[in-house]
Amino acid sequence: MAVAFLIGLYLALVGSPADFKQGQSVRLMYVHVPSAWMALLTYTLIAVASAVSIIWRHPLADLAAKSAAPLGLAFTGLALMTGSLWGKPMWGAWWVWDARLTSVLVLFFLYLGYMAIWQAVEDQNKASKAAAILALVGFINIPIIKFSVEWWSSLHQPASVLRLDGPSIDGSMLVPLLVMTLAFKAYFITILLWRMKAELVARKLQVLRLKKAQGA
Amino acid sequence: MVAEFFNMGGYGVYIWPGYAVVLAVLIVLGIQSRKWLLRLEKAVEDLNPEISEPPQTSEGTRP
Repeated sequence: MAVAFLIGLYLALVGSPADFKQGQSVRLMYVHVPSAWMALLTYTLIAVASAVSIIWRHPLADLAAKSAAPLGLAFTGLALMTGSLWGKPMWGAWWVWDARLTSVLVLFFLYLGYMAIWQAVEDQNKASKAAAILALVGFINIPIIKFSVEWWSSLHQPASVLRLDGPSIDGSMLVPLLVMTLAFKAYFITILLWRMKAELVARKLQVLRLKKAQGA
Repeated sequence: MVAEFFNMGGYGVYIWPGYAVVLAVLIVLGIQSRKWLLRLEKAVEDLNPEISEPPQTSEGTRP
């Protein structure tokens, strides 16, 4: 993870060219795009885990979803922040209410709502069900985000990597972007596993404390 | 040359804060997650001291 970040940051800040239209501001792409991709990927993971939790009642499913949510919230916030920093010099505005930005803001609030349910509902079984339902209903926002720049007129540029006719981005920019994406993915997996383990240990601790209280 | 690098063609005022906040958030979230896990593992160990202590010989001395 650390190596990927070091190589990615070097390529992003030093080892890649400026854009002929956007100049050096294009370097924000190397943190903005991976953040946005991870925001969407994390929510998709949460939705899938929620479906598994509801249908098959797998005990690790809701635990994975709960553990991933803070990461997704962070990635979404970073995507919005870096997008704003990129938008100001390019579009002349920190924020516009266009389809892409608005739908990503909705995603941010979906993450907040999902985490709030886990915090607010004391019975964790009920919290799990309510959170899972929110996650599944909110999943409609993911294709809306993805296709928003095609369905509505938007300031945001359309996809230049994940396209049916292949990436339209030059290799000198695609490579740093993919390295940074790999670094973000490695980070996500590492922190997710730590958080899942912490949730499992917390449940074990709760059981031990109950046993100790009953023993006393 | 260093000044040019930090200026980033006039866009440095947008680029550097962007990267700084991204790295800060990722580092803080990582540290917080790791510390949370270690704190919980310590709490379990404190509750179960017989699991965390090494085994002793029949004379009661360590091998």
